[in-house]
Amino acid sequence: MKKLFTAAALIMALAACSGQQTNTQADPVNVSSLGQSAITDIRAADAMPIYPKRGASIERDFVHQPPMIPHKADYKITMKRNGCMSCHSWDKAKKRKATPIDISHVKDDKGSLNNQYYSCTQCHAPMAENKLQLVENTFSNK
Amino acid sequence: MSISRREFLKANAAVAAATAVGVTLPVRIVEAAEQKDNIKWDKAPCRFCGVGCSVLVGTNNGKVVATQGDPESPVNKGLNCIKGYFLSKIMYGKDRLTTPLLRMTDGKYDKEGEFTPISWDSAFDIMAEKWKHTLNTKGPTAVGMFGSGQWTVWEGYAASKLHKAGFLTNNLDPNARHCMASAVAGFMRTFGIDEPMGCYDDLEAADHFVLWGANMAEMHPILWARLSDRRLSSPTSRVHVLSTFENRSFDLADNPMVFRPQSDLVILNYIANYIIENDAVNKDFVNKHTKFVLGATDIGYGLRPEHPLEQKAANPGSGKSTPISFDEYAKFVSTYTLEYASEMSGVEPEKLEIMAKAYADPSIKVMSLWTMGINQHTRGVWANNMLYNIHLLTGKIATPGNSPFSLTGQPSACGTAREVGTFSHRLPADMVVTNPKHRAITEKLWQLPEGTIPPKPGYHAVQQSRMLKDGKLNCYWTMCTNNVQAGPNINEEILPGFRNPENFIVVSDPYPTVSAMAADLILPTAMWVEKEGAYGNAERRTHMWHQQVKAPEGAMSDLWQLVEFSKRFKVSEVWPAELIAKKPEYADKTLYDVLFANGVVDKFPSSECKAELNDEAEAFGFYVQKGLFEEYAQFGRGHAHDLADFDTYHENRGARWPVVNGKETLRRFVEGSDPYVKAGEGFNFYGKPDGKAVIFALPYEPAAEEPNEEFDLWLSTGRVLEHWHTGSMTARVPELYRAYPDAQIFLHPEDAKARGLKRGDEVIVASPRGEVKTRVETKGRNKPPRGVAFMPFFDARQLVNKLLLDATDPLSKETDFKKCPVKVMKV
Amino acid sequence: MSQEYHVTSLVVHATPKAVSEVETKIRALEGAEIHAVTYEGKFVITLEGDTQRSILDNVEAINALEGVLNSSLIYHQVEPIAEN
Repeated sequence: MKKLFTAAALIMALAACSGQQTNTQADPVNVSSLGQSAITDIRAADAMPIYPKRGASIERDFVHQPPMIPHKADYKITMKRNGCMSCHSWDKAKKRKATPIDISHVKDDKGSLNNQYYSCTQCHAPMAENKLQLVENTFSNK
Repeated sequence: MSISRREFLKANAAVAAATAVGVTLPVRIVEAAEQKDNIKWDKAPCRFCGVGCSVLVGTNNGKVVATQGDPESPVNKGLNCIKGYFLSKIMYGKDRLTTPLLRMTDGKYDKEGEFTPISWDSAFDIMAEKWKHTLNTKGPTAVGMFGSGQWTVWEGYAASKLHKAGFLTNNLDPNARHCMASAVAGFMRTFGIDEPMGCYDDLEAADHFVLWGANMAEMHPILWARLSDRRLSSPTSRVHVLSTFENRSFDLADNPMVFRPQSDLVILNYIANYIIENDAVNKDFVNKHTKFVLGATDIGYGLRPEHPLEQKAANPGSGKSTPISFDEYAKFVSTYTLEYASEMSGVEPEKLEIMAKAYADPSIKVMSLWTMGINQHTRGVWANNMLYNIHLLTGKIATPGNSPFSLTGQPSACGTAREVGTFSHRLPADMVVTNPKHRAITEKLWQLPEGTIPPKPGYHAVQQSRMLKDGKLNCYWTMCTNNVQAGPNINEEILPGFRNPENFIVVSDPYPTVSAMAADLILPTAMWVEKEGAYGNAERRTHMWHQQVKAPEGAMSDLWQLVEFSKRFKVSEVWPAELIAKKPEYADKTLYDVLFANGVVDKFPSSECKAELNDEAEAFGFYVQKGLFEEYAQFGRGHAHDLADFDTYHENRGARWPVVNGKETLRRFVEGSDPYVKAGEGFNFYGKPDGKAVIFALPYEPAAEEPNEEFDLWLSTGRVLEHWHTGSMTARVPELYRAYPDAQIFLHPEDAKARGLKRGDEVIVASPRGEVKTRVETKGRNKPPRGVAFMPFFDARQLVNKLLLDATDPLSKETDFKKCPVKVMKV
Repeated sequence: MSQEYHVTSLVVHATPKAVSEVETKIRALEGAEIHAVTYEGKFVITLEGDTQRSILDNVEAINALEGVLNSSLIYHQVEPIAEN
């Protein structure tokens, strides 16, 4: 589509006399920001995000991507207790039918959590089920 | 599973590991891996925050197909945060801009016209026309640029040259003015030289950590991970967290403190008082290495001069100080008692005392960490000075673990904006335009006639908005920043400035942002690994990356735009005759010849670039990034801002300046670590002529506005983990959008109830300057106390900065984004 | 019960003096393969196994070897093996 404009503009430029102002016959385009409104508008608020209670694990788009959380993530992480580990630790995961934490997060063969990975939500986040995207993303892992 | 599949997976694994450490594998392994995946891995700093993590970028078929944390980086050691993990997707929003767009009607520029695609040539045609017309009719003070702490080092440097030496204007200011200016002024006033003296290694060495209005858990996650590790593995380590609302950093706090907005100033002086009253002053250190001054007070709020608050101020904008004795300082802070601090802040006295004890105890190594809570503050410079006071009184500075650490927000606010000096009052290496010696040094290094650099500071960020509105600034170019969403007082100052018919506004951005929508000409810009770049992070680590993929056809880098634009101007068109007369050989040259093809910037051939791709080198015919860098590095080498040779940064994971004889500096101002401190000196704050750091006696002064009967809540604004700034990159990544789709207003449940509101209700949030609609959140990650609310600013659909007053710290000119009185009503 | 194939790659850093000793010990581990060794004592290793536990046992064993300074896990992939 864009190539068409350039070609058309070229032809026009050649046909026109020199020394004239920018004489493009390209059509205006519909370009908008993520604001989905004029800047001066006071846009109505979108619905609150809804996070699912539970769900199947979400496939990753590329190797090394931290998997996203298929359920609500209000489990508290404090110094005394890491809420996520009550289901995702190696000794509990099978019983709770949860994904055990990755091998890269542990520091011994019992699966003790490496403290640099203590704040799970720094990398893993729940996905709102009533919101998919503001704009399409053409990323591909190939 | 077939043997070949197994071999393939194993080969992949081996190649990934080998690449991480730069090891060459036997050809058969690499071939096995490349059978199906041709992923090529190379390093790059993360595009986002000032932590400056390193990532490995995987490319295939001309695209980024994966990213991972870089295990070789001492900063993040293979770890990223969620934004870093999704770097692979930020360049692939479908609405990437690929052609310049000019507002036109019937084939001609029209400010009220519609965005129409034009060629780059035509874009520069009209820009040159507008700039030349304005320069000739109104002069250099009527053109300007708003740049960025997310520019690469050489983009900032090229912009600086183009404006200060080309157009002869100092109207170049970066968006770092909104985030780090108070920190910079704090450094300059206390130490005479910019940037932290400690480094990230202090995270593993400190015993106690004190977070001052910095939500590190969300905003500097990797540093938080290191801090958490330290806290969780050391039995005596403690974390104190101060904020105006409870946030995620409180999850790991031993001593959480929620304080009333602006009362941080009282708490800071209280701690200094506690140290003195409990005989914890390191007298030896104080006598040898510090001196005391009393700062000017009642300095206003950086508002327009006609504003009643400015009229009322006794010493608006004054940074003056007078020398005093230690005893006079002690007397000054003696009124900041524990009772006073507790009363003003609302924090229980026990908690304040526990924190003060930690600072006072000589056996406890304390690392103070701060960013926007302290900097985006109408007395942010004072707060920075007062934080240093505490560390200087106790001598807890510049040694492992004893570290007042000013955290940086943007990836290169340090490396580009501050070190290159892309501010309206600055030159490279901490020099300033007002100092004739500094101008002379610059003119010499830039091969300019004497008198080229304008001596008067130009318009800073907030002033640029005001001057645009008033029609005094008429040609304006913003790059790598989104001020119509991110700046304060959108309705009253920023937007009218953009839409003022006297002004021609150009916005360079990869995506159509809110600012682009308000502009007259939009230029499609290349991003991140689509160009060769360098950033400088919060711990003075400069690090570089090669171009790894091409930008979408039509999008060009900021560097290319700046350098190419300079070709449109003849020196005779923009310099006055008297100036040209001093260097007549320049008369027939273009700005490009004088600034970029000057024998220094163009002296390295493109063949020296070790990467396959370098579009700018190809466009200009020389290794422009290396040339700009090496010319720029001359400013700092030998002056305590030493950068290493250009090529070394491409080999390593960065190095912390000053880099002298190939060795980076972990801690500055201290003997044994800083090469500029001589043996026997112990400490030397060599930024100051007498080598002494300055301890400032400064009082509490109230905020510009406080809640009243109508606007009865303090609104603080800021970020969230999942989004970067205005969301132009992160909101286009589906996972990040779905993780945090929309902004809300965080309220205390009782405040909501008192207004007839419940969680999820749609509300209007209003200030005297504007309104936004949002929804109420009472159970989220931020839990404000009664009387305080928080809204993030990443959401383009909810322009919360319409509400904010453009009040600034009068010394740093940095806006206070954290204290806006608002009211909340159901829709 | 479904089977899995696990492969992990890591970089192991050994003191130069201990390199050949470490190399011998690693080769003896089941599922371990050394792909490269650098002059500064860095090994590029893959570990294969059918459970996460077995991989980890090997990582533990490597970390416990005398002369090993540290190791970094770089890459981990799990592939379910289809039943026939």
